[in-house]
Amino acid sequence: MEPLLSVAGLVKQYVRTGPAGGSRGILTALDGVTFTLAAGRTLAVVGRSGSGKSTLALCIAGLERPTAGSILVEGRDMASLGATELRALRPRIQLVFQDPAASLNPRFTAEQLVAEPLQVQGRVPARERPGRVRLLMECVGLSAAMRSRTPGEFSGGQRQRLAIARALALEPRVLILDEALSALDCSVQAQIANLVAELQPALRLSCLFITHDLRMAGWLADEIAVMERGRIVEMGSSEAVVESPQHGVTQFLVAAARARGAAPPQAGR
Amino acid sequence: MRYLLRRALHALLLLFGVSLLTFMFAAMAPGNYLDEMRLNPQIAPETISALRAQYGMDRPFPVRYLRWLGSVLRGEWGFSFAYNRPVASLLVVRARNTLLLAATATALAWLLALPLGVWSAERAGHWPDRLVSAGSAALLVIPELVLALGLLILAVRSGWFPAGGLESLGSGSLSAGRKIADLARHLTLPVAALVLSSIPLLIRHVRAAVAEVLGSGFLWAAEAHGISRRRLLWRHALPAAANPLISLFGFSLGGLLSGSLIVEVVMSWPGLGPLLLEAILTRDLYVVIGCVLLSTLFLVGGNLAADLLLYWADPRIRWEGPEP
Amino acid sequence: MRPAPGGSPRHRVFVWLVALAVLHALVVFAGVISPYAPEEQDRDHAYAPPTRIHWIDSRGGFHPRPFIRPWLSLEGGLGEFAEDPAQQIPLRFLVAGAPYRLLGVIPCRLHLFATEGARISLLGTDGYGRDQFSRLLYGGQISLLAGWLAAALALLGGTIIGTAAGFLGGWADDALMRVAELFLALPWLYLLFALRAFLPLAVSPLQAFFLVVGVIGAVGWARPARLVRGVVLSAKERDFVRAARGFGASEGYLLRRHVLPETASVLLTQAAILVPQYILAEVTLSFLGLGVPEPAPSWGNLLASLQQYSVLASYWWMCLPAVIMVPFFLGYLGLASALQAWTGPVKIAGGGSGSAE
Repeated sequence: MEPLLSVAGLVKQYVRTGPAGGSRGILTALDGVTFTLAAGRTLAVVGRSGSGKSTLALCIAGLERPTAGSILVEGRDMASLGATELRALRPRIQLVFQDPAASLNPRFTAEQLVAEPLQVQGRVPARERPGRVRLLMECVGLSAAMRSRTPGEFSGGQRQRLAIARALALEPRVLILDEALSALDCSVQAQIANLVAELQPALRLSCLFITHDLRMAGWLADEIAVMERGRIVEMGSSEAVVESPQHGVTQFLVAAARARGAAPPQAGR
Repeated sequence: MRYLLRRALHALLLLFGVSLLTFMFAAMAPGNYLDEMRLNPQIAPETISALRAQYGMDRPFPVRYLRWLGSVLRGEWGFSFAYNRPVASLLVVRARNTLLLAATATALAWLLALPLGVWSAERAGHWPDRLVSAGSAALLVIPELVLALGLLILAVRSGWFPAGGLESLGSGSLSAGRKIADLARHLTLPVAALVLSSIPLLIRHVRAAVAEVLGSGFLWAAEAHGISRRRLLWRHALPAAANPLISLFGFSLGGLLSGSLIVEVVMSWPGLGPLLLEAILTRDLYVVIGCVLLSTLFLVGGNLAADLLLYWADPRIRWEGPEP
Repeated sequence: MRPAPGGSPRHRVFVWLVALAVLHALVVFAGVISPYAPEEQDRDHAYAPPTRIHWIDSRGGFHPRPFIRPWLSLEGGLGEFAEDPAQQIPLRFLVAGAPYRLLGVIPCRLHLFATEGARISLLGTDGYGRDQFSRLLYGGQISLLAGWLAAALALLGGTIIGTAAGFLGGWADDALMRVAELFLALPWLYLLFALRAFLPLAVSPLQAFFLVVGVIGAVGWARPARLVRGVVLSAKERDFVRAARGFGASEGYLLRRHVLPETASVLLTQAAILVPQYILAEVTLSFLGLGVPEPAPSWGNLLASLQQYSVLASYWWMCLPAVIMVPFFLGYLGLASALQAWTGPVKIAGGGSGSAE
């Protein structure tokens, strides 16, 4: 069976501009990333800051255009799609951002936020939207009575639930969580992680879980890919990666997850 | 050094751009300048044909602009129809007077604003601060026009100051010392009007900049070393606040020049302002352009001086320069 | 934390708005409050000082209804006036008088106060014997309206250009901002004069009004454009805009629903700053003869006679139009500060936060 998501040789480069406007060099965020994600599975992409994992999330979500390589969603190459086709494809892959305070427009009410994707895509008639919103909010554990509140009136964990509800509105096949737990308190992290773990089989989601926390990755994901400087340096099942890490970076991350104060490897930077 | 050259080049380009913009405004004038001039009995027909030849008045826009530009480079700045001579000769005296007024007002305003602002910041929240803030706010809401008129009425009613003009009649025969005194008396009211109108904003910004520095960490270290309060304020706090203040200088200069236009007209100070007004009313095209451009020159020049000062005062600009 | 002095920021905004509304009401209802039409002349009483209001008559009796004594020209033709002790003309309130149009539309005849038999000039008369009080109120309509319209024009232009520059980026952004820089390179009043200089001078009051509004609005777009551009640039990068892109929102939708609302607070504060500045611009232009001409009243051309030494020296009441502007400007300044305090520092791309000044 064809994998749901297939990424091959993905490259993303940014041109750095100096304050005077001239070029200051090229930053390679992704340097040939290749992996596949099958339906119903969860892949965690783990790495340190600057390893390129967020860029990967943005490219797959269609919010950045890769410099080279291909992203195949259900067999179709994203780069080859025209504007309308791309728009039609968007519901398939949805992204939950790290900071819900930034990714939810503070002027919108909860109802408006969750209904926005439905409104933009226009497939659900207006009168059905309130019902959908109520359903989605209850799905993520929020009471529908909170629908008129603005994000400022929610707690951090509730905001992230709202962001997840919004991401689920278009019934995606792939849900990308870009450090979605990192901005939350420890106890709340567990709650949201549990929520995702429950929703996944219920909604037949595949998850791409971007994080720097190997422990959480091991707990939530079937497979783990470790990224360093734009490349995947190690990939395997969660147990394998966590129990017997091969690459230096992985070992560092495992140690960091287990104990505090682990020294970083001398990665010849 | 490259930074400064770039700023100078930028300033020059800006002046070109402004001259082009003003010329474009002029091009919007309905009707033909030449036709209007022919109707004017004061202008001799030979002048008109000479002008047409020299300035290409009936030619398309680019020709006119380039001819004028050539005239500027030759030092003439075009021709005045009302005065029947090159514009530059008119501008020189007027520019000098405006510069005198603006420079004196700027210097005085800063000389007053710095101590008042520092004093305010130091005693933030107490009565000196409140007093200065209230006074500033009161002055801020009074437009220059009103201030100028008010001072003029004061002059007329009290007779302490001359009601306008640059010098008294017959001052040509006075000794140098008397002449300067006479000039100073005439300068007082216009300068007062400008200083009063520009000082509130300056005080407010000086106060804010110094207050911010006073709240920052490195001053505590200096204080812990036992440096006296006065030295602390003037030798440490103020220079640290220099950056925003120097930028403020450039910004406030524009307002001052605009203010000087109205003050000059109301108080009959023979600067660029009254000349511009007269040129507008008599449709003296090149004088208008000359005045506008010269005032821009002052502003751009002042900003460039501020850039230079900033470069010298703030080491960060030198080290974090845009060169890779 | 103690509450800020003067109440919460929102409360302060409200207070200043009310104060301004009261001041503007005086001008809007100029027809009701002023006893005469602005162009009514009375050549016999040119440059008459303000009419004095009395409650006590020559015998010391108190009258609850105030009265005036008409001015008589003194002999010698020096233009001096003295009160006529023989006459006592009572002030009548809420009378029907000369018709006018309220708000320019509704025909009305009600006047707040009037006198019969002699004219009452609370603020004196000018060279044609026209009541300065009435002219002040009507003149306010023109000056205030000019300021508002010009501000609206400048803000509209600035928003369009700033949004285009910020949203489109690239060369469009560069080009537009360079042009803005040109406009900002001149001292503001010189820029205004530069444009005004070449447009027709001898026009009717109505034409002059729109000309003035157009000129002021046309040169004032640059600073708002820069501010709006900054807001748009930073809003463009916000996560919630990216998220909306993620659902397939079009650029137009993003602009309309997410980016433009962010500009609201900047525009509001700018409005409070620009309106008084542009009122003053109209006043300055009219004062110098480049704005609204006679016989239409404007605060500017009401002051124009002060340019003559004789008027300045002898007739002190002619400078009252200058004084009337001050409370209005105080109101606007207060409103602008309150708005800045309420909306807080604005997130502007390219250099930290700062108030939209």
